[in-house]
Amino acid sequence: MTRSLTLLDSGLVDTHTIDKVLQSVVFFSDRVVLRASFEVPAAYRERAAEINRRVDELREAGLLGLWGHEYEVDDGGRVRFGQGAKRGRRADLVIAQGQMRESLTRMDEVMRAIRQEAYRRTETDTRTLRKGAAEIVSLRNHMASLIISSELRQDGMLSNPAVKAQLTRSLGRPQPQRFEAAVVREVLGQLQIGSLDQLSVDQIVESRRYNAGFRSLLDESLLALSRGLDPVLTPEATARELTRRYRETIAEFARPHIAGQVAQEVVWDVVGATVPSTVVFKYGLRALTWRKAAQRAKPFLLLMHLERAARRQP
Amino acid sequence: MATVASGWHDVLSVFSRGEPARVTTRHGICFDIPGLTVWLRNPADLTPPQGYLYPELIKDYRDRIFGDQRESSLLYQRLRGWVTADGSPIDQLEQATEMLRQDEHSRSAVFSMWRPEEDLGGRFPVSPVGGALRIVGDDLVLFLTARSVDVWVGFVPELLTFAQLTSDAALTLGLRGSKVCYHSWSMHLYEVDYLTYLAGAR
Repeated sequence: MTRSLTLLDSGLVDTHTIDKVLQSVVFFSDRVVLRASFEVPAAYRERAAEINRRVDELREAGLLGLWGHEYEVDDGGRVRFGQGAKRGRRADLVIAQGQMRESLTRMDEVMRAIRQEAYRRTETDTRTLRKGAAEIVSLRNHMASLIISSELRQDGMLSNPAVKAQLTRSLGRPQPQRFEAAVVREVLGQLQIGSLDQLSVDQIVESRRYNAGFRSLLDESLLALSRGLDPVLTPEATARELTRRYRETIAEFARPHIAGQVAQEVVWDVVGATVPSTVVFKYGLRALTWRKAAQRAKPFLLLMHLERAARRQP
Repeated sequence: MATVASGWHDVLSVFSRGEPARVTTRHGICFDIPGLTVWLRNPADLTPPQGYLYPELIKDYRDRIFGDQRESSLLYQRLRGWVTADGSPIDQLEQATEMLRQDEHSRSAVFSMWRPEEDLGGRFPVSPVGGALRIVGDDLVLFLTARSVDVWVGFVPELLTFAQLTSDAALTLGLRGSKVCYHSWSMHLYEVDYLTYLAGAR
């Protein structure tokens, strides 16, 4: 099933946003959709060319799409404002004027019902003073992003690190961060893989060949959560468990009696995409097929692949 | 504007008639009129505007200054219980009113609601940053300066609350009338509200 996500919209994209997009498309989504008229914040202006180039590359590879409101684009979908206009950016998806009116009315009904949530920072914090309308305005803006995501017929929403500080402070718990995104961030941190920005588009596309197993693991965790099978399953706990299983699998493969054909097959699968096809044919396609013993490692192939890629970097 | 009820629509129409700046912020894209001053001639009329969608926010805001939300309100604390360096509170509104009672020509009945150590770089800094009370003719005039206000959501509750505060203070001082001069450095509509307003205004 194709899974496309929108970014929580602030109109700002920085290097952390790009990293978040990469984590998403490498680990658990097929595509992320950003606002076509996005701007690079002043603090990241020196890296604007790099950010724009990354967006263009990812878009060309089909990993990223751009959306805009009708008023922001001309008839050909080209952005009419700011940096996007200068770069000739074009929206792939356009929200027609007036299309959202009904949804916004419903959004305000929900907002009325939950407006106290806007002031909640933490469960136990009762001393924080309320400023007033700003918290409500902020909550409404986040809800409007959900409406836009729904209007664009996307499958969900990613938080945007460019607004993360503001988000985590304003909404406290629950944070509108995707469960999968939080797990991935934790796993990457625990394995010290670091930023995925080091990967080229080709490497990203290649990594995605291995993400089916990992996606299944995340989906299973989410399912357990939604069915209440494990109500205390936090992203951090899930990430710890995934990392533990990954390390266990790697360690097991290093043991002499296992290190034979099974390990060889796993390694083959990992390197399969990076070695010339002639070599693959020479040594036999059989090495790329899975046997029962190797099946266990399959969800972790993506992590192995990324660890290898990270080690290859200077 | 004569009243908040009529004036809100006048302020909104500035967005459709003028050329508001399109600003990208961390909260989202908004359409901004930098530095707009509004004179409210009849603060005693507290009727909410027709078409204003959030009457519950008017109640919430008023309760933060006059009602049961005072203890949890940052605005109330700053205005009525400003904490000084030695920890003792100052009721700025009461002191400003008392100053005018002693000297009706005073131009020093000023209050501040901005604390740089908390607000500069803070997540939700206060909107009204300060103001002054003056007696001009038979009227008490509140000059209020707001850092930033969302015209669609927050402007009406804020203006109605300070309108009530001004007309109450005028009565306390035995004055016949009152006015509010409200100035905001950023009067804005967020994108979805701007589009909704423009669609309805056509």
